[in-house]
Amino acid sequence: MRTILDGLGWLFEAENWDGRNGIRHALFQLLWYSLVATAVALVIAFPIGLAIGHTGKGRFLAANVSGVWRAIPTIGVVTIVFRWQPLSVWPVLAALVVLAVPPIVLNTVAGFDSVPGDVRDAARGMGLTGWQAIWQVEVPNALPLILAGVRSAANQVIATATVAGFVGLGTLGVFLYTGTRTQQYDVVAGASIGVIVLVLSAEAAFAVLQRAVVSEGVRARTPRRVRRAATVPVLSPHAP
Amino acid sequence: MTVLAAAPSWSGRQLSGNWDVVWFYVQQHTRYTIIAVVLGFALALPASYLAVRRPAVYPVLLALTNIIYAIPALALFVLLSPWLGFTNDKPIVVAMTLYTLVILVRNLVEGIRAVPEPVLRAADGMGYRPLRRFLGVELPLALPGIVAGLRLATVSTVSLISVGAVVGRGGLGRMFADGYERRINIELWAALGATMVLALILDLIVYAAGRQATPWTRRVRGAVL
Amino acid sequence: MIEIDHVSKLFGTNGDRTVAVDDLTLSVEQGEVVALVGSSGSGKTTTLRMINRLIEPSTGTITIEGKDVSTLPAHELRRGIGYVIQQSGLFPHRTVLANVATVPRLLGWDKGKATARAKEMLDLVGLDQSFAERYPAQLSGGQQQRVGVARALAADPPVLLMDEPFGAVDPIVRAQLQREFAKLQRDLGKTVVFVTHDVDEAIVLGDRIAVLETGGRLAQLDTPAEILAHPASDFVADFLGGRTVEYVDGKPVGYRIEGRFEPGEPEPDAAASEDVPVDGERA
Repeated sequence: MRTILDGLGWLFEAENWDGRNGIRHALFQLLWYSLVATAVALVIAFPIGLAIGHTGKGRFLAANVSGVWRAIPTIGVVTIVFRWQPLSVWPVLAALVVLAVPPIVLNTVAGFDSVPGDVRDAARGMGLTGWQAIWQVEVPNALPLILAGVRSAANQVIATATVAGFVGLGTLGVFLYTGTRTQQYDVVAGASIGVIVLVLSAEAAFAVLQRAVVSEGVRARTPRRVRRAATVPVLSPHAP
Repeated sequence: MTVLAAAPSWSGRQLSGNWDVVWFYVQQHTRYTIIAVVLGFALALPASYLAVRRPAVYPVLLALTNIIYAIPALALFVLLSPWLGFTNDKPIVVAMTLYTLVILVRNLVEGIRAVPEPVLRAADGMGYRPLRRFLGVELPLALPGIVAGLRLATVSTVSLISVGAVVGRGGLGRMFADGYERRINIELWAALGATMVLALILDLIVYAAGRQATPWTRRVRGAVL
Repeated sequence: MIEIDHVSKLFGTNGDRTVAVDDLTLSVEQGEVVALVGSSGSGKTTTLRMINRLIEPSTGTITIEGKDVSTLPAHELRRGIGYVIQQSGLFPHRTVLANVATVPRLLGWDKGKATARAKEMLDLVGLDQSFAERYPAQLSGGQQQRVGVARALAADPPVLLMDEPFGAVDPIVRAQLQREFAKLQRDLGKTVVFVTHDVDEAIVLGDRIAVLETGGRLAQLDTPAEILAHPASDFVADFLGGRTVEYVDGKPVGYRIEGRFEPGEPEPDAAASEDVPVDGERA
């Protein structure tokens, strides 16, 4: 318990925030990498998820990817990538993106699957073109699961970026590593509190986003049982 | 669970001759995984029973589990360390138990809620009391969902334990840390391979056990219906 | 008005084909209501969906007002045809009003005009204006079906296609909706093709009935009275289950069923109907 308090003490100590090795820099890095990696992953993954979800093709492949993806240890990815390209952060960032793509794809597909069949049939039957059906009908109704996927991916990215502190990516993870090495457990405790605060803030932000963006009618809709196992919403282990 | 003293060390730049290292960590990793998943499951049962019996509890429970699940594994390990130790693997096992608990409670409750009303009413009509009904009717029928949750928990646990390497622990994770620091690439690859193969094997075991336990979901060959 | 000319539909690949519709020819006059009835596998829904090209025929042509439906872009064709389905297919993310205004908006009507029209449609189907800003999930099954009909009629299409439109509600609501639809049809005079497995519904609502048998063949196409009096085959006779028509002043007003076993599909589970005031849709 005392260590936790020491950790808080370290976190609140003003001088620890300054400088290249300071908390502010590390926090900023973590935020920056997380935002960029999540955004890039979204840009890549959403069209893929949309294509699979709307057309129904490629579903089998998508289902099998999730099992493999969950088994990947992020520390392994991070160390191997960094050993391969030690002088640059870009490969590690690319790894962050790649790890964040599956939850978005799978949840987007699940989101499209959750649009009731009669709604899709009515949309086509009334004369909406393919694109109109996607954007005016399917996406708004798939939104809860799509957002869940992005949220899951964001948690994944934050966690992996923290782990990447092990190879020197300048996030809060660095404090975890160096703090352990030097047995400064207050630093270690403080840094992990910082990570947790960041994650919970992100969760809160997503909750607000969900409220703002998802139509009231969709929130009120009783959730239908999703029949295909392949498309059960994917929970990310978010720091394998 | 403090095994640092007995840990063999990797020597040289080849895999041969270091199989004992791999085997040692695989055993350790497996032990942690099994403990965490079994314990998590055991704890999830009463928790879900409570959630099903008292619907008011569920939203609170759900919110709590979401928060715990969102916290990165590494941060969780660290925060458990002041109480459980900064140099042993106890915090990791406890954290993984917590994750398993969280995953399974969700799957359990959803699975139980999906049991059709007529079945429950029939059970009541035959004289099942609440606890026996839970154990004898609702749980078995919720099994497919439970098995899915167990598979998720098992695979996630295997990969998450290794994250402890950042703070000097973590089963097979130690091979990642060691291989990285001493620049022994083959050790990194060996660790990656071992982790993923272990995850796959344990996943298959859970899957097979699940199929054994739910004969009613298996396709019947040539049956006269 | 609608001509279905030697239309067939086959599913499956070369080795293993199923015939859903087998060389069907039938025509629907303007302002008439034709009911397609048959057991499962009789191709009735497939036939309906070929009219608005949700399914493409394997052979044959379908024309509406003389124009071959395959010559128009599919989405344009469908905007000129009203489409009502069993589960109503209302868009959950839009209000009732926005749902009803869907096709007018697709056709480019400006928002004000579309909204005004949507409100008119609510009146037409007997829904109070207070329903306008509600979401489909807040409506009962019967109310949703009414919105579905309102939505189909909003752009005033000449043709209406309905696929088991009243199948998902309980018998009391169903009877009421049937009565209201009959009155609506008398006022509006649309050309309607509707699919039902419910023979009684076909007899009550249809000007003519097309009985389809398994394999997608037309067994008989005639007025309800004629079919009941002179079934063309044993299949048709069995399917109608020994009903005899009751006449008043030479006009058929209903029918009597003998105590005979009735073949045909069992009725689908009526969707759990929430509180439905039988005659109190106007709040």
